[in-house]
Amino acid sequence: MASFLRSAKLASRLTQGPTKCFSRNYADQMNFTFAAANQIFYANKNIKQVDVPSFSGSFGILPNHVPTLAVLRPGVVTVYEDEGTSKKIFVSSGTITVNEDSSVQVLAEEAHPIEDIDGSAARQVLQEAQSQLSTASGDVAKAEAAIAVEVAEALVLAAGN
Amino acid sequence: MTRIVSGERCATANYGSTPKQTAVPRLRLVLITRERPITRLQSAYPLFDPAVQFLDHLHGHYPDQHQPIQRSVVTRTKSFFIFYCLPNNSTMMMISKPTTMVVCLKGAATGQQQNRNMATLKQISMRLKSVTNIQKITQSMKMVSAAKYARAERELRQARPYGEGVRAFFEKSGATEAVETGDNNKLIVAITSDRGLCGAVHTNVAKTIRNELSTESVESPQSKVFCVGDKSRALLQRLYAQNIAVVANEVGRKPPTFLDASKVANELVQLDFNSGKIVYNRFKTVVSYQTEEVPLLSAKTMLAAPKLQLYDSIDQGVMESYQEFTVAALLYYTMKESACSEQSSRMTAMDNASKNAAEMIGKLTLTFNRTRQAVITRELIEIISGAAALE
Repeated sequence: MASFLRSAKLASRLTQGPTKCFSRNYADQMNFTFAAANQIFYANKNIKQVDVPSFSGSFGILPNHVPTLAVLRPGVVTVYEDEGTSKKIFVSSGTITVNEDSSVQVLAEEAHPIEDIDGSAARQVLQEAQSQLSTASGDVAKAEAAIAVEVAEALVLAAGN
Repeated sequence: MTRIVSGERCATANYGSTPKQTAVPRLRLVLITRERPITRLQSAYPLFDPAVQFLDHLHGHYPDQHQPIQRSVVTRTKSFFIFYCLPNNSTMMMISKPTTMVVCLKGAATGQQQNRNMATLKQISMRLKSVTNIQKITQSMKMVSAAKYARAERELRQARPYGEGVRAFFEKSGATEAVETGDNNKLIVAITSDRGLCGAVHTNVAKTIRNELSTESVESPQSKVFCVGDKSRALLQRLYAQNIAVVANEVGRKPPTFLDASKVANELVQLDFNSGKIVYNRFKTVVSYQTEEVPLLSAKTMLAAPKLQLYDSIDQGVMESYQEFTVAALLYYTMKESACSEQSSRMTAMDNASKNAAEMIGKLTLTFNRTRQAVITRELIEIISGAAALE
């Protein structure tokens, strides 16, 4: 009897789960702003989902995401638009803000669509950054060079996609 | 408001020749209005009479001019600047309005225009030429700023959603006010530029900050001021020099970039502050802007925001990085707004200056032609009457 009850509960949970997920996915609006100092990509647009790289790990944001603050890591932001298309944009650094009213702000220092990235130029940047890191002296210079390497690596990865 | 300032500050102003009419031979004296210096005191301008009386009064009280004059109230001369050159060559300046700029023009007094002769004709033509040159300069400055404005406006349209995105967190988390702590060290950032001749954009920013600072008592911990642009420093250093913490210059020659903003932000986060604000000019239309403030919060203040419990996975490190980037982004946005307001304001100011110059040219041309005619007529009369006398 007890096992039957448990399985019934499980079944109900299983049947409820996807519907909940479904409602989270499509029923709500997401007020999405994605801007960089060089370009505005989205201003208060409604989108399905956005995947962002952050220092506490990459994560996806759907409507009604729990409010959070995070710092962008160099990498690719993927935006799934309402029409079903997706866009991949490389970001260097910045912030992610998810507010309680389901508005999301992704603010980058510099951002470009990955189609615009030249792979060979990115590899060259990476080489330069690596040689700079090996010759850097002093803590500040080393940290700066390490950041440059990190950005360049992300850039090469993004260009390879 | 009358203050006596002595020393080198007024050394740059030029004081004219010894006035002939005054009975003080050792006292060199120039009365400078905002328009022109008057070397002849018995001028044709009735407005200056109180000033002349005041100077007579001074002469009566300080015949040898060896002691400085501490305080004197002059009626109806509120916008005058009076310079004294004492016999030992030290200078004294009386300012009745400390905020007004001293515009000291070299050249002859216009009071001499009454005796219409060749010399005046020459003077008028010289003046006409200089006004024409000034008009050319202001016109080309207007063209330059119009081009720069177009670019600034285009870039501002890009930066607006960015700025709104930054501010959204403050509004939605309620992190707009600083927590009241014992030591409330505030930081005020003045967003101006190095360049003048742009109406009152910089003055408005400085005025807002000055009003804020004037409410503080001397005993309590004082607010610090971060001046972005030389103009705000120049406007604030006279009264609040001890409040100025950092000055960033080389602002305004080129449009602000994110790199500029990060440089400023880097300096800024190193200052110890609990709360603060950025005072900037928000661009509205080509002819209007508004001086506004945005809050500037430290990581500590942001962590104490009323709705922050709602936010997930926040630790000190994330908050610090977040705050640093936010400061840079806010600075970038406000610098863009300010740059656009400045260019539009300069455009308007230079347009007005060109119009005024055109008006002056019109008047001077009229005077010039009249004088020329008068000279011709006088010469004719002289010749005719000379000929008539011979008959």
